[in-house]
Amino acid sequence: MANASVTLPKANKKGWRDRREAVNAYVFMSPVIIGLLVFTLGPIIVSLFLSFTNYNLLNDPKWIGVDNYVKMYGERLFWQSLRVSAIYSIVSVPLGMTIALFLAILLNRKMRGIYTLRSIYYLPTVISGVGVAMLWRWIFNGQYGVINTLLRNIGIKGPNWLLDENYALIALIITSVWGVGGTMLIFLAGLQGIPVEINEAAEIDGAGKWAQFRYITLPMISHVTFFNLVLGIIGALQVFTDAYVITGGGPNNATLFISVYLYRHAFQFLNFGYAAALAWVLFLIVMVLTLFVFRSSPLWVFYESERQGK
Amino acid sequence: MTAVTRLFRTRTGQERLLGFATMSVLLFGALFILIPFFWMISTSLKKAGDVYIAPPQWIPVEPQWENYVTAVTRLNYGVHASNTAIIVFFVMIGTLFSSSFAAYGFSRLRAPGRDTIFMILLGTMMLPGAVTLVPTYLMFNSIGWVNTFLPMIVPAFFGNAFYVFLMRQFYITIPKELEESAMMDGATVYHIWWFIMVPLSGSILATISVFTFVATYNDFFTPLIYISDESKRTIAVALTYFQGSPRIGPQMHLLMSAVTMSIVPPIVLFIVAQRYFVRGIVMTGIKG
Amino acid sequence: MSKEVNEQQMSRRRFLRTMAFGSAAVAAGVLAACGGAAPAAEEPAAEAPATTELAKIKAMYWSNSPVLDDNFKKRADLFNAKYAGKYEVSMELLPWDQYWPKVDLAYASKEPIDAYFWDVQAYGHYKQGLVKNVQADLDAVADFANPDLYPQEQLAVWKFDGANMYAIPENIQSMALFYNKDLFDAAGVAYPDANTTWDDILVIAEKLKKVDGDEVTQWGFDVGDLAVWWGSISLAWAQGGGYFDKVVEPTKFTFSSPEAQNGLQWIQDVMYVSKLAPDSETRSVVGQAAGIFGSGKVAMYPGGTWMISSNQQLPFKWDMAPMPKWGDQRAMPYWFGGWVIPKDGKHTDAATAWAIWCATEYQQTMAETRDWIPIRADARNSAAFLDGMPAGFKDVSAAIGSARIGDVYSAKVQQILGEVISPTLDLVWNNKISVADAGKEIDEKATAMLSEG
Repeated sequence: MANASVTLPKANKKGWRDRREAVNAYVFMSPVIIGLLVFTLGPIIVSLFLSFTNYNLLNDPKWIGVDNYVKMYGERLFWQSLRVSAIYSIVSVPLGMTIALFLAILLNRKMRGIYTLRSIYYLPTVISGVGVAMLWRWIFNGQYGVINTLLRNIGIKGPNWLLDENYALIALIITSVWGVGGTMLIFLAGLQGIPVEINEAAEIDGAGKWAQFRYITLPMISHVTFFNLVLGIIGALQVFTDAYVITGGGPNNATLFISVYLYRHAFQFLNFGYAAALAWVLFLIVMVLTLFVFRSSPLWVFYESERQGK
Repeated sequence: MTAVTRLFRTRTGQERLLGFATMSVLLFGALFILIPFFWMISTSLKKAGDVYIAPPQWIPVEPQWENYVTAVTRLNYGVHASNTAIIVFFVMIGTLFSSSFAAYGFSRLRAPGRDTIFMILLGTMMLPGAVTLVPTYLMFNSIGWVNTFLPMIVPAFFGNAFYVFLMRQFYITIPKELEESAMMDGATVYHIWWFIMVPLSGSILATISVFTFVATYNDFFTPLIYISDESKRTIAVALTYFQGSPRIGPQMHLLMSAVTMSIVPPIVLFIVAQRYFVRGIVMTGIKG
Repeated sequence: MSKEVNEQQMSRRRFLRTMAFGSAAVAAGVLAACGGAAPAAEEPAAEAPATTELAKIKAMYWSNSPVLDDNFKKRADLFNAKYAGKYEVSMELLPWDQYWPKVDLAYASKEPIDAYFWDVQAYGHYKQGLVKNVQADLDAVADFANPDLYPQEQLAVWKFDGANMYAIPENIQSMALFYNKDLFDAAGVAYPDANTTWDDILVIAEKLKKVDGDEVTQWGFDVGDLAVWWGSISLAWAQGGGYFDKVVEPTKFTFSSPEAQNGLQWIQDVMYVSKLAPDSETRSVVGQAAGIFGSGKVAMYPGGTWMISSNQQLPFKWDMAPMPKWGDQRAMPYWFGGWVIPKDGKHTDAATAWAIWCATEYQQTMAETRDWIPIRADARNSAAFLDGMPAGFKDVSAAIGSARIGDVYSAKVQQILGEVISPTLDLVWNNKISVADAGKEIDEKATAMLSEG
């Protein structure tokens, strides 16, 4: 299938034609370019500037150089928040993706009720917000919560999820798994993009289910995996509402995500300059990780037709 | 011959067993997914006094349907629903238009700096929203947009990184031959975009519609910060009415009735759009 | 040198503003070009040339519960009816978590909310010189200086500079011991009263606790708002101690003082040693004491008086008593509810009129709705108010006279509470660390943060 090349042609033979094409390209891109400049880059640059100031929102910012960044380095809670976000991402992203892929494979067959099942799995992603988060607080309650009530019925004494430092983060990871439907759906789409003939041919050649999965399915959906991984990293490092409402960062800062830490400083402690600096650090972390994933992608992401282009 | 038949027979047997196992796993998982929903509905039908009791009531003894009536009347639900509808409608129009329009430029037309712009665009997805909130607020305030729907609606007309990305991926999969023949007939790129590309993008547009609908419908912070008048609030904001304060607890039963009602529209939309939705994602091919 | 710095600041400020305006201009231009996309830009309807300018103001408060919120709106209607054509107030109620960000954003945009409800966060606004000095306005109200009507000594706490008031108080809150009469009657135990001590509470609670095998079916006591620092501090106060050296701009924290330690220990023990009260795990069912009390499974709990109006809807008989004594001393916190008026608001006169009206004329109506305890003594002691109150309220109201402010004022206090005090006390309530360790930890870290500046 033809693919638009992402690289520009080196030779410019027909100058005016290229120029007209470029003008048209800019016209098409103009909403995005203007949007970037006005709604994103403008505020981003302002926030970069603010990260070098002492700004409490109430009065005008005062330039303090890199003090915010220096202060951050010495703050115990900053490192704690990095640790929490890192653990959460390292666990929840692969776990969520594995479960999502597993579900997608199961849901990728023709069965009665399969559409209903898909809808059910997707359901959690269409709702969000404080109400749902409050519901989770309820569900995880050590004594009366649904989860521990169920566990008790099968003879297990459930932990004190939200009040126990060792379990609060696990509880939040469970809520993230609950919302795995979006990832699942994208995997499902990837699976449906695999031509049936390939698996049929492999089966005729005597390949078992596992071999088909390992040598056909996985490579064929590797671009989808890549996509989900990038989105997953971005999402996990920015998770906020759940942590803020369900545990509020506690107990003993066990769920102090960097986004929660940032929010507190921005809007509760009125250290907006410091919060802006935090945001930039978070931004750089996400950026570096994403670039790393992008760079590593040639090693494990398989493109059917784009290989020869590179 | 007999060996083949036997193999064949055991294969169907295997298939059936596998189907059964699959179904069991899926049903069990669905149970896990549905528990919070079940609990939400169950709570929404309880009396205020029965919400916090142990052992919990799974199914309320006397379902309090009037909780829903109370929630609707207390909330002025109609007004909030129509505000939400207006915002969601324009945001969807804006997003669909700007994303598909821009994506055509990014996928089909060459211009210096195009790919850099695209990378920057994608980079903005990684930026935590809390940090741009204050400068953005100050900007909208300085042009008098606070307490209007504009801060929610207008940015949608200027593209959204993720949707531009999805559209671009989709356009890449469309064969160029169609456009080339139209070009021969003298069509401009704008004609091509509108008369060829857009009509072909039904499923991906449906996908983006669902995403946009859900995100806008559930957005809580933006309308809360920008809207002051209660008569302009959206459903997501209005739900906080039953949330209580740190010192006075929530009206859990009413909150859950309101939340239950509020999730109906996105669910209905998903069920309706499901077929296009999945296909839409399939067709983008999602290639890095 | 200083001039240079100043200029640098100026230029940054200008840069910020130019940035905002520049981006805005582009946005506006593009919007105009797009046309039609702006359905919601409702220009305020062109008004007929008014003879006197109507001052429209916005008053903001956080949302409490549907009933309380609705009464706030009714209050605004009353005010608007009285000042028709002159002032018009519109109430905006929003969740606590977003209340302060919105107040702060309004300051950031140089268009502060005309009047917003006080809480300690507003002290930070005072510190930045943003809050109007309302002393002259209060002086203009004759009654305000009358100690029989307004509690002068307690009001003085809002004179942050020692001489002038920076907020206009309208209601007073305190803590009390709420108890479930039905449970007391069933057990044949005498109700707590103004002479009950914390030691007595343990004895009474023991009698009211019921178990069924391993499971507790009824608790004698719940720690309620003692789980928050401003609740538990009463125990330290009653022994002559406290948590910090002074209310305004404290310089050190004293959680490891013997008085503070005794109080905290009492609370931890009632949950984990005598087990007369549900522990944190059980309590977190609701996260709110009223929920546990509301379930009818707890005989008594110390809680805020703001719960009176919500508790009125409980399906059982209940009453209240003053906070118990420690030995022969009682201590309890009080707080004011009231209005802060930004110095640079657009209509400070209208905002002040609203706040003063709330604190004077409206007091009797406030007494009738019984949502809040009016600050004005005659309204608070009026039959209209007391008739709807539980019998024990009288004793509570009398005890308020000796209550102490349950706040601490320092620009750093939100961070200290959020990062040190609350998480550490939570560990105590979860029985994860000893009271002694917690005291040491808080004093060390919190005091250090105060001096960080």
